[in-house]
Amino acid sequence: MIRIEDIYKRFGTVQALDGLSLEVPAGKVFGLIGPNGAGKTTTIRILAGLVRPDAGRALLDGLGQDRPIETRRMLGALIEQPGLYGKLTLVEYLTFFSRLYDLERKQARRRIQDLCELLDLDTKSRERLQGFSLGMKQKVALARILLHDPPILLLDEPTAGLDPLITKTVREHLLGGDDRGRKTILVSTHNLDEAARVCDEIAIIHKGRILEKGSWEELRERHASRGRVVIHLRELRETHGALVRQTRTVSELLLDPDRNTLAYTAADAAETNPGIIARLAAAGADIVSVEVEGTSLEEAYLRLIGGLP
Amino acid sequence: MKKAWHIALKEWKEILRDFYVLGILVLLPLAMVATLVVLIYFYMTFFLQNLDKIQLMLSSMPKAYLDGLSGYSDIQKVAILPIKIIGLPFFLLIPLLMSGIITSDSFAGERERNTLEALLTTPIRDWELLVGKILTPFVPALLVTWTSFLLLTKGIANLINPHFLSPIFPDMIWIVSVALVVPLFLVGTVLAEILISARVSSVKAASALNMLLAFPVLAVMLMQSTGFVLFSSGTLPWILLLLASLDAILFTVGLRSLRRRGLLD
Repeated sequence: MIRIEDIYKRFGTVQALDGLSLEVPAGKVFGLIGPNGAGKTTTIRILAGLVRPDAGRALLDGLGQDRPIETRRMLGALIEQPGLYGKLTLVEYLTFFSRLYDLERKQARRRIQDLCELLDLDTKSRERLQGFSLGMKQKVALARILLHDPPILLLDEPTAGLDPLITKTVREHLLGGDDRGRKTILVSTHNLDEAARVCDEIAIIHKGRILEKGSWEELRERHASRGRVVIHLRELRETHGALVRQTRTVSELLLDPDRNTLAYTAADAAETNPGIIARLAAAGADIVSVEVEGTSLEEAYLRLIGGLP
Repeated sequence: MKKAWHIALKEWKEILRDFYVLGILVLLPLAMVATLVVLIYFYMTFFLQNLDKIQLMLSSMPKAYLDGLSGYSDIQKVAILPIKIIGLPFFLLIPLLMSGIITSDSFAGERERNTLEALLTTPIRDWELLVGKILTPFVPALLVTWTSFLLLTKGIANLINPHFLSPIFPDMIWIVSVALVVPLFLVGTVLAEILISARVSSVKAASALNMLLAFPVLAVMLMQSTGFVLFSSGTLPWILLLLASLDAILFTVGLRSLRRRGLLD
């Protein structure tokens, strides 16, 4: 289980984390979504023990950074843009890290072979890493963090800059493969589609704070309620517009006499619409159809982080 | 300690595959030894052909050079200038340059190539990381220095009549200096270079700052040439004690300031 308690971190004049708290239950995949500079990487670096928080605690299976060796043994951390030792071959690189993770020689050899096969790297195992493409390097970094089969994974933008095929491989093997439910994973991304595909729960983070948290379905439900409503009438009259205007939770009302439609944005469409429809019907309006265009999570995300009005 | 060796082994592998670094590590000490041998050769040849100049030379040498050399011939006393006064500090300059080439890349290079974070998230202790980073330049620099010493011995034996020089080269002062002073000096140098490499953001900056470490060696050369402090049986124990103390202080400081999170904060 991953637990972050009220963490603050400042870099110079920038408040990177501002009282951030979150909990990832064991065996779950948790997505941290936010724009660049939101505090995603800092959160992961604090959990990995690479950055000291100014205040608050970060715990991995109940252990804090006062037990660094134990916490690092249970951890596989992929920090963005992994650098590799270019003069080593793939096998030499993974063997080096297997020694640091205390793997027995025989066990390490078998594990390296398995991971190379799993990630389609087996044909490159004797080649030097300096000639590898970005996608290949990312796969090597993934093999590295999986070497000791850690129960907790911290992944910072694991598919950033990768082509779709490699992205799919990474996603399948890391976030949706056999390890699903066996590993606790915190993944940061600004790719909503990716988060939707792989995360059990997500948190939208901005300016070092969590703005929204919940499962994908919960967030969609919460935000789908703020939608644009289009009512198509047999014959649109001015009085219909006046009736809708009386409702306080309605904004951006638009009447289109040519198409006999009235459209508005409701703060809570599920509660607002039945009242409006009843009032229109009582006034003799002949309603042909009602369409509710729910806010997509992308729009909700942009609105939350201030990118949309 | 095993993990420290693994770090060093990995870095040696990288050095051996870097043609330019390897080339410099081999050629630079060879060039330095060759320069020293040629200097000694011409110096000795001059005095052997101009014996009348020996007394003039001896009278102009600081008295401290000649103390304790009463049993030596005049030509041997004259030889002490290139062999001990200049030659000995040369053997501090060789490990300094060798370790500088490797250590400037230590933490600064890892940071530049984004490899440090992966290393720091492994269950390796701070002291293991520091010892690994010390071993990386220490072992090759020491081997190169000792090899250079053997080459100097061989070069002098082949080029210059050994009868003149055997009592003063290699004497106990030389042997103790190369066997003990050089390793102790090297540990301190490497630690200072690692501290620099851990604090700066680029290999270029680390290399530039490492230049400053040449000043203590230049100071030793200056003190030797003026006779202020000489490598002698009287001063060597104190020099060894001073270097060992400095190494202990630098190791403690290094361990404190290399707390892994401090490397990236």
